[in-house]
Amino acid sequence: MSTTDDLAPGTIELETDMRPQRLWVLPPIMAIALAMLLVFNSQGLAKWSRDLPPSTFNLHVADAAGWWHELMVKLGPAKAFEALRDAIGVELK
Amino acid sequence: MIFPTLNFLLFFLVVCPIAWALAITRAHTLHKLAIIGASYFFYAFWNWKLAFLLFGSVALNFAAGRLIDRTRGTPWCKRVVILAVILNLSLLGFFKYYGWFIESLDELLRALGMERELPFLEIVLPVGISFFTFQGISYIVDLYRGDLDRSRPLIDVMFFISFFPHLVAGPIVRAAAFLPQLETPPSPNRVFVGLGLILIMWGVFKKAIVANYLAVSLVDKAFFDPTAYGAVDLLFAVYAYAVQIYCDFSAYSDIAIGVAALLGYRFQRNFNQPYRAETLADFWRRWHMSLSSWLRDYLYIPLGGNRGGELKTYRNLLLTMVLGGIWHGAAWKFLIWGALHGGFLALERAIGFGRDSARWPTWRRALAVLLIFHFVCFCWIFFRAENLARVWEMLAGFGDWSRPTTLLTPFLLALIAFGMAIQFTPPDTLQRTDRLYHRLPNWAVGVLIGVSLLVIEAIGGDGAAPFIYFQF
Repeated sequence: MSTTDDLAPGTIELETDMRPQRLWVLPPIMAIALAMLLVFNSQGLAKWSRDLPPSTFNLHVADAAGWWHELMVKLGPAKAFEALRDAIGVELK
Repeated sequence: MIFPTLNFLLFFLVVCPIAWALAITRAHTLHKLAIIGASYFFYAFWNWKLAFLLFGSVALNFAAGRLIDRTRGTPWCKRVVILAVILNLSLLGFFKYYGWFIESLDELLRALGMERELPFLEIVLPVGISFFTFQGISYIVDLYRGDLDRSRPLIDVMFFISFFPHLVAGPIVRAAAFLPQLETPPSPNRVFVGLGLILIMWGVFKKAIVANYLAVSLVDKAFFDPTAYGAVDLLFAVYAYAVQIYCDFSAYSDIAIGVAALLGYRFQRNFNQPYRAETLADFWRRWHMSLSSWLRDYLYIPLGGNRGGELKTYRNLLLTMVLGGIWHGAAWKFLIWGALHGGFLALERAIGFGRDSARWPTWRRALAVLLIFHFVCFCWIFFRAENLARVWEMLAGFGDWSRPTTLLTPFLLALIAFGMAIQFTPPDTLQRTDRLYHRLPNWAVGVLIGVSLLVIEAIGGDGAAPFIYFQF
């Protein structure tokens, strides 16, 4: 246990020398990142929706996610992500 | 609900805009209520019945706070604090130690030939109970000591104890540091977006890649049956566990701090490159800092700290660390883990080890880092092993150098090396990364985050294992 007193509550500020910003920079960053996940990892969305507890609403969610995944497979990005996953997986395991 | 999952992402995508919309429109009470509601939803996701327990803890500490205000300056004030601490610890003790106590009593009575029908209960350990109990104690003790000027309204106490980023696995936020942040709504013109995003991405990487791979491919197998493996596998399993527990636990803290930052709130740092410590006292200034400083301020110092002479200081160190060990669970292995740390801290103090470390030459510092790291690793064996029998099997296995390595692969070795290398990066790495972040346009940051998450997803594979500290 530390017996020195250099850890007084609230003194270890991670924000020191960090630059704050306006909140408005956050939505576009999150929107782009989210869009990339939806487009390339549509399989993850479909899998998540299939694991939801059974209900009428969740059935619609699963249908929509499945439709989206099929579309992404047809258009190509989902296949590209699967190829990346396979390549990295084989390399590592 | 755990952090690096789609469930949490969707939850955050709903909560974040609502919380900010209410903060921006200066609907401060509604902003707090929205975050409290979200926090209870987050907690009820595990077991909705336990949300009542969380509220019970809040109500207890809120009432104690009001009583402390009313009785300030009278002998009753101290009695209220003592009663509130006892009630908090009783709640924690019941859920954490009741089963162990009854089992031990049953064994003892059997051994004495006095078998009795004991009230065995199936008790579910509420996730995060240790953390919210400690925060409740922090609130009443800070109030009593005057670190907080007055008790706070129920809504603030609820927010402080239940705030979802720190609710289930810390960091243990201190009342005196956090509650003043609730006096005004967070400002949308001063949000540490870079800090939040960097910490979240770094945490997701450490958890999903480093901690998970090491756990599944090496640590779990070696600790499950140490007799099946030779010394090299077992030795690296211990190193791997040291890296795994750091990457797992610090990842949770990083994501928690990042999520809070994106909502406009500040938490203190919880880890600071612990395996580069040159003394064990230094290690505890860098590891789970919010717990070690909590134990110091609310246990070690009230026990007398280093004010009663050398022997009492050693006793207090040992007692604090043993109690810190038992806090992790009712088991001999945790008690031994705490006693080892407490004993070494006392020894360090007795021989003055590291007192002049600032003047040490580089080779001596390197040697000290190696010594402390290996001592910490030795203690981790007790912490990780299922029971003491497994500990002895691990220790015996270190003598068997004849067996070939079957678990260790170049990839796992690289992960261990990576986990150690990040202990020695410059202390201002976060600030440097923030400066890089600010050079990029927003769209590039979005693309970078998207690509990083896809790569992590591709490498990390399906599912997310629970964080180690959820069980405490």
